Amino acid sequence: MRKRTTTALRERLAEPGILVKPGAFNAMSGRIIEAAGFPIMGLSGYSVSASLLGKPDVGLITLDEMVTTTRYITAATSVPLLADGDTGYGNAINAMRTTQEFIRAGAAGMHIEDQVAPKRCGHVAGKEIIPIEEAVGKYAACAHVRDEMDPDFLLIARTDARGVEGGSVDEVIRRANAYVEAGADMIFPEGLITEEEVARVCREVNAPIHYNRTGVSPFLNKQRLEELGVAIVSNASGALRAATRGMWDYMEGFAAEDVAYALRFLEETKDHPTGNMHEFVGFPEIRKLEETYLPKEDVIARYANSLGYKP
Amino acid sequence: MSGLQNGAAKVKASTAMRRLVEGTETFVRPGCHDALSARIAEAAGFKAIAMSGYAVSVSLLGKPDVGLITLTETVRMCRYICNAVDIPVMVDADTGYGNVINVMRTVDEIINAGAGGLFIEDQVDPKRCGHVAGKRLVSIEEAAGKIRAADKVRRELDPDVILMARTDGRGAMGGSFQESLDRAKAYADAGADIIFPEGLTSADEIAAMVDALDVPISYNRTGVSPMLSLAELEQLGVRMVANAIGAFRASSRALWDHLGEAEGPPAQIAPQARLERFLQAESQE
Repeated sequence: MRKRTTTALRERLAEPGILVKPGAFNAMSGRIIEAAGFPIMGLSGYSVSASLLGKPDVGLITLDEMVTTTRYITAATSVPLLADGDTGYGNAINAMRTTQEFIRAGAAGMHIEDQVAPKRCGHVAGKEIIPIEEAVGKYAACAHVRDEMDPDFLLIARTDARGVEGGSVDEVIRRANAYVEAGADMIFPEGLITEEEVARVCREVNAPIHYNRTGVSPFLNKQRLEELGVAIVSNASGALRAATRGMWDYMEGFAAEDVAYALRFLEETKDHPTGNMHEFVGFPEIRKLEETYLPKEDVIARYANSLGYKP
Repeated sequence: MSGLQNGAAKVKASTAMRRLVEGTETFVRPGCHDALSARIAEAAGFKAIAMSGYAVSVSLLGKPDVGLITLTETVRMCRYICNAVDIPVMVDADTGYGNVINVMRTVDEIINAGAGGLFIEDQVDPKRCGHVAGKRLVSIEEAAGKIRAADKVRRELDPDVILMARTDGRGAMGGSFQESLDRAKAYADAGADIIFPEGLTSADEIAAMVDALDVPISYNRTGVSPMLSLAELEQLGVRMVANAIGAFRASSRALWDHLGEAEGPPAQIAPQARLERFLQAESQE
């Protein structure tokens, strides 16, 4: 039997070295992240909102949509997945259900932030945060569910205190330590703006740090972040950006040149791992399963006497 | 989500789709698999799009198109896509997810989710991608009954919705061009507005199909079917042209390249080993 991903993640975090966490948004992106060799992946709320809904990350996505997407990805991969739990989709009671649902869906951990709901992307202006007392209650509630259901589930408290009106690193550190006190396993200080700030937060917060290298936060390399003491570095929307650019270029070319573009694309992709798309997505494996569990001669005859790609 | 829509007041999706199908121009409907891919196709200027069952299965589930996707998943994705674009969407309804009674519910759900049209095929359930071997057909009588039932529901809910009958009669076990033609005629008689003869293998077959039918046809330029130019298809009299998984291919290639080159994995894995790892992960399930 496979080890629970929560336990695998805890063991991995106990080893030295920073973990890079690309953001998945559906099963295929998750499978490609796994194949590339990443030790963990995120489920990016930003990317799910953009891909599934076609809308920006302003708290439109629901718990149900995130949990369903989590389930698709965890069913298709075995790398620990850290889910984006936004604000927990309401107050402390909603956050408890959020924790329970993500654990049941197979996530290895999640982060919940101290923004006012509906939230918005951590690197877009206009954020507001809830009072520290309310946020502490939320994390204590999540920790309670974690301890009951699976103590290995990683509870990450994200604070957006740096970027709000009147925000400061002092406030980030004050809140972070209060959240750790309430039961958070790791702190995600969103929107730090200098290397100095990252260094200070790593020194003064009593828990490992999750860093999001995007937007207003400096693009420090892996080695530097490791030296500063960061445990996990997120690259939340990189995969979404790549897929978007790929589809944009394809659609633009195809709209302009029609089949000439489609043929050129196939030719250029001929030797690419995704070039033989039917094989890439797993038809050969289906045929093997059919021959194992369906009447075999029937399956063989079916493939022999019909047209198309023969796996 | 009115108010969050990009455009102003617009023609109903079904009416817009009907105008295209009943018009004289050959039009292309690229396939999409989520709201983002749909929005990108719309921005590129296409007048209609399709929701591809193949691309939804592989993107959402990470699994091949062998009838694993459920009606619920199809309807949910249909709603996301229809909420995100102003152009009409043709929805791939596979076999209708069961028998004729299931078909009736399927048509109801897909119309209520905002589709401009939908297509139902005559394969045995669970189905598979039209360009992968191993397909089997239900009897022509059973399939025509499905189209009749779908037509009834469509007329009750919104007569403008385009009902397209797909026949896999060309490439399935025991299939032939003649089988495909006989089925196309029967489905048009049963109420289909347009026929999608999947897997034709030559321009001559396309021409013969167009000549024999009183309704227009949709052509899927992939796999065993020749990659003819739009001008050639226009010449042959094809009305609707699919490009089901082009966007999905582009997205997969881009993801593969981006993640393979990204800083992060403890050790760089050679492309071939990555592919083996990818396929291996699939076979563990």
